Amino acid sequence: MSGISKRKFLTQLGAGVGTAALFTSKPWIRRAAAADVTLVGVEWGGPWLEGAKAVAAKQPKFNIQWETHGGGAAAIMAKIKTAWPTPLYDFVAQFDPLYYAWMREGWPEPLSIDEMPNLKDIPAESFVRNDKGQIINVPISQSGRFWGYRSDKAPFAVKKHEDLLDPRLKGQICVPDALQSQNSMVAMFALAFGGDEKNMEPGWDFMKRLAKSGNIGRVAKTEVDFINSLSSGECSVGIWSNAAWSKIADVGPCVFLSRVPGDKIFRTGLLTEGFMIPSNSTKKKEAKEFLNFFVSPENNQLYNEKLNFVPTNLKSGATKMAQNIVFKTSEERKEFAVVFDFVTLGAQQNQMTAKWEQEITPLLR
Amino acid sequence: MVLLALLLLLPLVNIFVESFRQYVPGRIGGLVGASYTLENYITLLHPVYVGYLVTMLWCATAATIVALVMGYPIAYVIARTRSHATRMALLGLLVGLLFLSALVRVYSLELSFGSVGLGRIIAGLMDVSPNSRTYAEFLVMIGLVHHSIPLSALLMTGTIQNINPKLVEAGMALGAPLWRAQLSITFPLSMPGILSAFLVCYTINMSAFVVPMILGKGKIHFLSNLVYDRYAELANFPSGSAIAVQLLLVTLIATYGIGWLLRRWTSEGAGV
Repeated sequence: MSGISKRKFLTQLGAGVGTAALFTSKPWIRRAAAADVTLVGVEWGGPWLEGAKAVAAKQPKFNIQWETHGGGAAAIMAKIKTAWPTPLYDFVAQFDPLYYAWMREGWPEPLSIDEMPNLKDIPAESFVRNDKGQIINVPISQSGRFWGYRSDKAPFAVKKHEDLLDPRLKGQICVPDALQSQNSMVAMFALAFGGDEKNMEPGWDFMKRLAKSGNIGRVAKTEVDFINSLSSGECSVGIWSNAAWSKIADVGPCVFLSRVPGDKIFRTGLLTEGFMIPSNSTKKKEAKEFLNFFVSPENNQLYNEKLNFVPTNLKSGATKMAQNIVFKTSEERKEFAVVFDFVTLGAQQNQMTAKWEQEITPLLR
Repeated sequence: MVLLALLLLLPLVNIFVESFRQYVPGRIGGLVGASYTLENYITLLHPVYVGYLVTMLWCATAATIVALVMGYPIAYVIARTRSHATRMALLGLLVGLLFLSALVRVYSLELSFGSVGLGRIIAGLMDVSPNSRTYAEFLVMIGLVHHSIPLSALLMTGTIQNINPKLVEAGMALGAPLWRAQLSITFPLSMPGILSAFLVCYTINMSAFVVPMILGKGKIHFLSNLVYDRYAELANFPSGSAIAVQLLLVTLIATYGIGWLLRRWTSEGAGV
């Protein structure tokens, strides 16, 4: 006799079958079980996370534990700082303004094309370098912010920036506040009226005129705010990124003012998003390997398809919606696109926010 | 006691100390090791920030009072329902409302009372645009009232239930009409419940964050919204901490002050 009772045999058989079913039923369980290494990554939610997960699912070597940004991109920096030097994350999604904040803290791990060969297919101007000339970011998409309107809801076709002050647009405009993209909207106004990132007064003057006009219906704090406002019809004119406009375009016809000849406000403010590896990560080598995989031509394209952003890898293709922010020649780019001085804007962010709270919000009617 | 000190007092002390630190733009948090400063508090004396405080106090006070007025009849009906099963069902409904996601409720209010819902009609009656600041303030109050009514009704139900209904019958037997009997007997005796409901709803409304953020359309700011911007977006912890300390002090003063006044009023009314 074996000494195993029928009950014990059936229990063990059931446990074995259940475990096998569990492990084979869900792809992420199979991947996690098969993966050699777990990396912890931070990404924005919604389509960003969708795209990132789609790319991560294509490889078996790394199990990625995703955490999403809770609120603004700076919020994660507070968590990292309080924990430093204890490692929390292996790579973090950030964008132009915050690369410099990371460098000021001395956090980014230097990267090289030798370690990450796919970086050679990314234009040199997309990289941010530290004071030793080393690359510190893995650019994954280029987004653009531009004005647009819902042609089925707006009272008239907006053609020039003076139309933003037209009384027919009372309560119809949705704008971001000074915390969005380092106040790039007001920076664009400043550039249009003879100022720049260091002298923003001309931009603030126009912003005050816009606030006093009563045409601002909502100051959006988040992309979701903006999407809800324009897709519900609360407002019909606004400025935000390609990703937001693509969601609104699913609801109603939109006209994009990303390249209006002769109008210096109706241009596109370009932003690069990418990943950075904190220098206190214990899996830097693995993180570099994964991110190199992430920016390969096919994966970079796959990721950006979810967002309708422009891939940074020159060998990747862009969606039709992303063509709004693709500038094929340097002349076109010079006329219709702006790359802001985020170092200057970042250093002024606190002051700009105070100015918005003290001088713009009280004017909103 | 040790647990209370660790979990409650220690974080508060940290925030208090942080509020006196200097902030370097572009960095994360206060500058450790530098001299302390009152700058973060002096900034709050700017008329605009006083204005934000006044708006917050006004919205919270008005919403709390409306919630109490609307919650009292609900509490009375529940308390005086003879059927135990019906009373439990009504209480369950109120509790169920509290379990609903606050974000879902706020977004539903935004759509229902916004410019694509009843907003055009209501704003038209107010002679303002549905996307105006005035209407945004009204929406914020609607949001606060919506959140406060279930809580205020729940808090007042117990007190009203403890009042013997025969007292009202006795009053009516002595010739008082029903409304007079309720006003002079039930209402004063239920004052402790009203006071509790007021204090709880008022503190919750003062610290509201999601309601002003979404329904305020970026035109109405509560102090909690300013704190969030500083902590989550700017990493300006010193300024955020100063506003948080201000919010804590204002809330404590307002609730204890109003509570003292109400207690004094009720004890004077009772001839004590």
